[in-house]
Amino acid sequence: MEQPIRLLLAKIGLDTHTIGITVLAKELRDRGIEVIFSGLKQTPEQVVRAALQEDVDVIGVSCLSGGHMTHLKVLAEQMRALGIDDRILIVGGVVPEEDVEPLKTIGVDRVFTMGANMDDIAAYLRSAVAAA
Amino acid sequence: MRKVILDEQWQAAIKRRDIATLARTITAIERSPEFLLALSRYVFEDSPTVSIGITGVPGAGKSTLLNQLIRAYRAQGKSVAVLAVDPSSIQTGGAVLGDRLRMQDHALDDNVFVRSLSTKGHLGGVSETTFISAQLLKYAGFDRVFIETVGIGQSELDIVSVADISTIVFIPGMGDYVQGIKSGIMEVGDVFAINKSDHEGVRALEKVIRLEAHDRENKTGVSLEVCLTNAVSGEGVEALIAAQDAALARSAGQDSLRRQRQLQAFSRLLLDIELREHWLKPFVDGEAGRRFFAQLAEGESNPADIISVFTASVESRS
Amino acid sequence: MAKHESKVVEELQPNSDLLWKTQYYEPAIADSGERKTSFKTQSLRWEIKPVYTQNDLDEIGFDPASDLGMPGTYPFTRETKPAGYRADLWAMTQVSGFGCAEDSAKRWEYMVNQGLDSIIIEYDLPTTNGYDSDNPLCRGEVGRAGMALDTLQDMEEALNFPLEKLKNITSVCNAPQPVNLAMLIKALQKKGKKLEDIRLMMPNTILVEYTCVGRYIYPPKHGLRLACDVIEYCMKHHPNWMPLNVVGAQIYAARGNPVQEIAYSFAMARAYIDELLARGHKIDDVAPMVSFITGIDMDFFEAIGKLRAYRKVWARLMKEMYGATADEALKLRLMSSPGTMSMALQQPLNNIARLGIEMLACAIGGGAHTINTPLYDEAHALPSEEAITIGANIHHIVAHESGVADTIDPLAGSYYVEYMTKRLEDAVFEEMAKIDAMGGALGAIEAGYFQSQLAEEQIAMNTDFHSGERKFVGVNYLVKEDEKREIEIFRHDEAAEQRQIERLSRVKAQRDNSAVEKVLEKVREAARGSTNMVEPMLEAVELYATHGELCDAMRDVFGEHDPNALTPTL
Repeated sequence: MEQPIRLLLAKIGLDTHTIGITVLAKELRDRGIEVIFSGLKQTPEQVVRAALQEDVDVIGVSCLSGGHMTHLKVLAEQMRALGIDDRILIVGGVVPEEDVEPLKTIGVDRVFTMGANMDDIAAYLRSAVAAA
Repeated sequence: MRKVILDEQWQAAIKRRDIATLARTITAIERSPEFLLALSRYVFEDSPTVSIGITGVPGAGKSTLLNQLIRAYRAQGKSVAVLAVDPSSIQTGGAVLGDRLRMQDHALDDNVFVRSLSTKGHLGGVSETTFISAQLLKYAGFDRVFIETVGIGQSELDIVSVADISTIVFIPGMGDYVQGIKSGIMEVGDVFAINKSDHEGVRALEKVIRLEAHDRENKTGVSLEVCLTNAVSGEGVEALIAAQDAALARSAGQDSLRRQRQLQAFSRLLLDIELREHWLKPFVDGEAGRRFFAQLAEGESNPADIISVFTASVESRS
Repeated sequence: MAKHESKVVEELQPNSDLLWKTQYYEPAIADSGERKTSFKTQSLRWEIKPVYTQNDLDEIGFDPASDLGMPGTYPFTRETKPAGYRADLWAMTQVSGFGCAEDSAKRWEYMVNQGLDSIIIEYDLPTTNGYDSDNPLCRGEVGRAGMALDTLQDMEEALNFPLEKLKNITSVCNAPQPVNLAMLIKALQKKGKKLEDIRLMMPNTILVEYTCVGRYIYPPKHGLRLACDVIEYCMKHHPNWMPLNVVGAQIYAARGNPVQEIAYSFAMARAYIDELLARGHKIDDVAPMVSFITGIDMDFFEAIGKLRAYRKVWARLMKEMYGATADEALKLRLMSSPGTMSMALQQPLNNIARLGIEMLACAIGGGAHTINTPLYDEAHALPSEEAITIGANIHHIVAHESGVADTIDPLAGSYYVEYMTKRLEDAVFEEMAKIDAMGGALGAIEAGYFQSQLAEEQIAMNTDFHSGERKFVGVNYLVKEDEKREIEIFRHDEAAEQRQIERLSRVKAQRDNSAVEKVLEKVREAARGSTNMVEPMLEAVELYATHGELCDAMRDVFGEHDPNALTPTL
């Protein structure tokens, strides 16, 4: 069997809408992804440490509070500090169009907004990991 | 894939428990049969008895209990590694590995290493490569290596050949279940933890389990530990640690026997992988295999013919 | 044509459903079928028949005398208020709050000027999670998703707008509700307001937080105690306030269907009620303290059935299970809210049409003292001023132009509406029995039942959208390729965080710190015992003990709830 992509999924900051992220995890599992769920109310430092131990291909961060810029800056810095900035970094949540380019400058590879199609996410992960 | 080269530098990094190196090595074990084989030459050199399987039905609170165990072992200054196994989806090969989230308290602690593994379709409560990954963590020098299995029924007993001892976690309400199984998990546990000790029905369950334990002690002469724990509050965790340490010491005494069993199981696994990767796969994916399955679909051959077709293809290879 | 008409008169009398089906309906679709192979309600996925008749009502045992009653009479299916919206319209409200106190006050004044007569105060995540703005965990979140609140001074400044124009104020601060209530009371008193002139509503709905929203601080049993302290305090001192609003709208937003929303909400309400009864109160005093907030989605008839079933099931529950007799105990108190989850990110102006339809359902379904509208830019950001104005106007258009508010429960007697209402009622009782068997709402939450059921529901809905079974214009149907956002959206003021932190440090520098230390110890002492927690909070906020300090004092005693403890097992 083809080796499944390993994805660390985390919620950063104080936003803790639980159910959506567990649903996302299940939906991606059903598309052949190995999803490591690192939980709620995580700091960027915790997420990056978990990603290092889990040796994931992708870090997926969900943020619905609007605080994505602040959190992702720290997260991307931590990824560099631990030498895992070669991993794909994706963000999901409420992200206005204006923030997409600045997020990419910070090091985010792709932004998915609310209601993104699960097949699109899975297809993106496959092509991005294959190209990495 | 991020490459791992088994050189002196690698060895030094593993010995100082470098997180990135450990993490990449475990990935390489999972993804490359050749690497798995090569690594096997390294990690068996010295092997203290420190690995503990944690098993029990889904919802027994295994991960939460493990979080408390990590906290307690850390308070003693011991380093801890965890392999947390969750099932993979049979249809897609994907998985949701959710044990880690109960242990994220320790994410920033350099002396705690938690790695989530999927069963990769393997039955038995752990994945094929769990044993060698645990072996790697022992080799790296962690004071305790835990293996959390998927929630088990009574037939998933691979943990015996993977860990040095195993702790079975029960919860109130399982009394009938325990009485219903005279064999299976009751025969392989070294420590029985009754979790959710604040819930109703805990005394009844304790009685049943003590009876079973007593029964087994009479048969085998080996004493068994029964502890009450509350993974949420942490109550009873110290006693569980003492019980596990006693069981580990006992297991070290009969080291050679258990060791032999583990090594035999692992050798058989290497053989399985070799057959699968180098004999079965090339046949099934190759011309002879494809031709056979096409004929089968057309009704021109019988399923039983596969043996002679395979044998012929092997002979033509050598 | 003439032939058919005569048939109606001559033949379609006793067995009309069957005859109509075989002689009219089936021939009509024989050649090319119907638009869809099956018709289903939106979230319950109940099969919809081509037409409903008296036979359907007979089949489910509908009895107009006992199932309906009249407006203002048991079981209140038709309305809780005898004069419906002919006497008073619903209070018109929206959710708002951002930045520092003065930013929010300015915004609320704007809202009142747009014709809204109520507000719902939303606080930022640091506040609802019980932290001060200078806590490192809160970087990037201060004043972002709601108003920042650290001390009584913030609350005083927040209430600097024409309060007298408001029918009610709702303050959303569930986990730290005793602290928040104390700040509201003290701020209103300092402004010289008579508390009986104000109608304060608090969701105080901590069990919903453990289930799906996640803004909790303490373990559930302590969370429940604090919520009941707030209710008990208001019962005694402010009986016209509404100190518990179980937010079914959050269960809806987590994609709960109408049966789940009502059953889970009522199960949660029962947890608070049982605790208050255990404290020695009587059901006829407790029940009037309990209210609900519901989320109304696009399926018009599911929505109307839901609103009617809500009232009826509550009345029956209070009467049959609790033996309540007072009218006020039997009447459901409800705020309805068109659905946040039906507001699409794509082509956001389409949402104005959706809001119109959902508001219409709210007005026809009736029973709500207040209706809260989300806004067309909901999926993008906090609302812009333009969205607020249009949202306010939708209230008025439905209220004054459509005529639906001029007669009470106008769809009563509709075969389909009565069928839907009755089926919902039966299904809710069935679901509530299941939850009872798990030990009620607390048991169900602890077992992860609510969480996993909601997750299943979300997956089923994703499948419906993905397959196109459920159409969402602009999202999976009539999609605009390479769509660019055409509306102006609200932009967060990044400097607000720094301003708030400076403000907090000024207050801390000016207050009597040793008095604060003493009062914090008093709070801990109260937490250890069984004193009503609102009492020490009233004293503490006046000394400018901060929101975070007060929450921490309770953390010292109650501990914290593990954010991952109730995550559904996957």
